[in-house]
Amino acid sequence: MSHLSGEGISLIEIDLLISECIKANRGQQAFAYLISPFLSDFKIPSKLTHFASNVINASDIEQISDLIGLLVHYGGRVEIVTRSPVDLLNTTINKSFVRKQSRTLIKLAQKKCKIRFNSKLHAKLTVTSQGVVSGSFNLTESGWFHNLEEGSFFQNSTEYKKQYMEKLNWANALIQNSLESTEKDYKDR
Amino acid sequence: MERMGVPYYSHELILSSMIAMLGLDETIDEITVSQRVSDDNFISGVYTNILKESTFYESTVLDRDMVQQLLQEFKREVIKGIDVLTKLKQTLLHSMAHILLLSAAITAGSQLEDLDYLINESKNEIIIFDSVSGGNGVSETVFEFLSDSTRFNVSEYLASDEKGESYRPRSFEEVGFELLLPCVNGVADRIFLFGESDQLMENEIRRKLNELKDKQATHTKAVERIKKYGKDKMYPIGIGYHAVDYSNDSHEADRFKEAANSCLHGCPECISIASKCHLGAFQEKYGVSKLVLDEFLIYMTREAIVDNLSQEEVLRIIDEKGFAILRGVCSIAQSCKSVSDKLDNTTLALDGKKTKQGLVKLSGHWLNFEISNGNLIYYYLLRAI
Repeated sequence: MSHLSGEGISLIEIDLLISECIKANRGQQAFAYLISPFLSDFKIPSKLTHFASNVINASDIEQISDLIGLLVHYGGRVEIVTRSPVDLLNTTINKSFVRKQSRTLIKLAQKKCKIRFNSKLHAKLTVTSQGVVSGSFNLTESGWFHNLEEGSFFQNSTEYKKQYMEKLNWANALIQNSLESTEKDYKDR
Repeated sequence: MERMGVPYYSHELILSSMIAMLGLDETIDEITVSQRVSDDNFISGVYTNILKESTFYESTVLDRDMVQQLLQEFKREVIKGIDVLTKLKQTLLHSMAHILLLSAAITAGSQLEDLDYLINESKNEIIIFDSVSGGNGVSETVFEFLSDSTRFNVSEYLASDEKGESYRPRSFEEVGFELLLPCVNGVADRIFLFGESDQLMENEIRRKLNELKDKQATHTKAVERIKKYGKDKMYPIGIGYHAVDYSNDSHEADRFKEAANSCLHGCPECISIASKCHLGAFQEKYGVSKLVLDEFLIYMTREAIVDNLSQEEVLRIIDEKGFAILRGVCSIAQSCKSVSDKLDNTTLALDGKKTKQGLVKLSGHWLNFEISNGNLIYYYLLRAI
């Protein structure tokens, strides 16, 4: 288990997704569950995308949606659980923020990610076949770079198998209990 | 040949005929080769082979006197060990020059025609410059993006111009390193000819292997003959048409030549730059070699390579050098899953760890196939940022 804060958050999140791309590209079962009440598409610093390879094109990514799309491209399954823009419009949350959420969801849906909504969602988790990152940070630029956030990384290894499985099972149950979205749910508002 | 005025397009014909006469497809024992060169029938034998092989070329038949003069001079040549080493060094420098030229063009987003290169062998120096008198700004752009400092700091990133930029070119150093990695076409070709290819494999390699398997249906005889010659003879049998068997099918020669010229020393997707090469398009394949660059990369990174997956060892090397390379080897005849799983696990276990030079980050992954032992080799690059 690693404690995450500051630079460590974005570094681990990105490497977990890149590692999953490597696995998917090899024809092995790979997936990513991205659970976050709020989502936005933001630029990834070039220092985090430096990647030399003769088998995957991770160095060409610029935005977080590019990296998620790359995983789908290589055959990985991506499931997203978030708050519905329709629900958010009925809250005090800034309308431009809700529009940003809609635009991000449209982009991710176009990249063949499966999107589900849960109106009570407050948890933040990224689960892949190789590990889990959980903590206070949303999958937004503020969550990764601006705010003071904290979290943990559990690798899917013999040592942390129990903790990993608990979080994976929790994520699976959440996915089962969340509503499948349709295009009209996140059409630009 | 160049000195004696033999046209470039005839060099391969003469070379191929000499290979056939000397039996370089069968033996590379230097004493046997020397004896065959000294043999009285050497010159007439080469010329007979030239006449036989000329049927594959559209050019006029080579003048017998010119060939005789050329081969007489060849017989007088003495090749010493130092000559072989010099040729290797020249090949390495020239191959590296191609890589640097390609990297510069990619970094600046320019055409190869906008740049040129010079090689100073006495100083082991390669110079890349604008090919236009007065300059066109390409070299200057490359210089601006020569390298990128490795340290990552959130507050520095947020304050930097990069955050607002919609697109930032990759650095020259980053592009150059990627071009130094084994060429995926070559890896696929080698696996196809000399390895088992039915197990789990990376998409890009699997796709190329499928293309090659499709081609095998029409190139069955050619592929079988190449396998029979063996991996050590891939280079000489790919020169000219001396090794082809076209007794029953006139197209068989071209099929064999196409298959034998698989990517071993370089293709247009890695280091071949055709007419932009100083040696010219006909001679390029004798002056550059991706295989030599592959060996060079292994040599240059040897002290950073960790084979035993020891996390302590990896962290010690990163503390010292700023990077380390995890290497896993498996025989392609067996499943490589356990090897790749162990590497994946070790990489993620080290990810984000603090070192003297920054946090550990996964920064590269590549694979190679060694025809000498049929091993598939996985590499994972970890560096401090």
